Amino acid sequence: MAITLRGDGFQYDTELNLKVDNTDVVEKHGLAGGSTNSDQYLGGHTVRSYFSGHPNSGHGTSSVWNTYTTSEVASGNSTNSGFNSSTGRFTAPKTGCYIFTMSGITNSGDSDTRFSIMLNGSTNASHTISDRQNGNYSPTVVSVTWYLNAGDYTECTVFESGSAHGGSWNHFAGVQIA
Amino acid sequence: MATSINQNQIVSDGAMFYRDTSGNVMCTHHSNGAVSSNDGSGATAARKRPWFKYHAGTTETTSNTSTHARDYGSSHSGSGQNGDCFNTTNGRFTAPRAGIYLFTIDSITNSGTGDNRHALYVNATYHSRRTINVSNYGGSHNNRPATYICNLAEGDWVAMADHEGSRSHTNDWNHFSGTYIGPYGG
Repeated sequence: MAITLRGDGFQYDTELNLKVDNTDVVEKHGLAGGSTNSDQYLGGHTVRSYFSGHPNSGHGTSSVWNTYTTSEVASGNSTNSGFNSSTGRFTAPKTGCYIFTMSGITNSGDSDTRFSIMLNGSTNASHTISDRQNGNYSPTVVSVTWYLNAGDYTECTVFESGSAHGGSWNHFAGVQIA
Repeated sequence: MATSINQNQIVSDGAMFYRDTSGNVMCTHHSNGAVSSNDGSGATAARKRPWFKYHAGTTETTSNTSTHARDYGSSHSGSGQNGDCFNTTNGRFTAPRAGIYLFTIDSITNSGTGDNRHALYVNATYHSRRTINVSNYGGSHNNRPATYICNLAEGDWVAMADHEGSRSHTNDWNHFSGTYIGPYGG
């Protein structure tokens, strides 16, 4: 039995392969990673682009959410993530597949309040409506998986009718998954 | 990446690939030396990526941030977990290692006319991961879905909870799920 080494070595994020030639894999092995439980086989790529935070204040109609706090527990903004916490804009540093999620509650108005994660300025790339009705808050969430080209950008807004509550009632997060 | 062959071992940046005295093919993690699967199936790696999805049988109305939905059942379709990471009794997911995790929540309000505030707690605090709805508009049940992407340290625990107002609906009408995406590269 021969072991073939690829040019980039034999270690991959999710498995090691034992091959009899360049194409036929005879054994695969998951990589263990958990020090708490050695029986945890943890795949996944190393995440280089990740951000999660909340805008520090509320935003009115057509105002892009900005001035984020990303330092809370379980949040963050990785080096060269592409997310500018001051402007609230995420610019894809690399072409690839990303997951984004935003959530929030309405703050004013008694009609439809329309939230969006805009893609390159377009509000209809991923949007939804939350109806506040008789004076109480109303929730919304938008989650989307996009394949972005490097330089594409996303940001959050209420693009019509009403405004978003500020502070810890909203959040925006994203991660590159492939 | 540096790779070398040392007698019966292949070593690459600390990870080893070799046959043990019983003839099993062994792999070790590059950072901590933990031994991986030796069953040769290949399916093991995917099957044991930390993941869970359950429905809470008990919800609470409380301002106590350490009390959360619990008594999770597995009778609903698609429920279960990998990696023994989720405690179905107390409702806590504990991160088996540091990294980026994806969590989803579906829940609906159950009753009452006041705000019902729902959250994802990390180590007993919701840290901006919360939402709100009321029962008395459009009927008695209104939805509050949520998706969160969290950067967790090993040992951090995560749970969903009602932190104020009427409690959420139980069983079929909520779910809590999560999985590991990958290590945080900074």
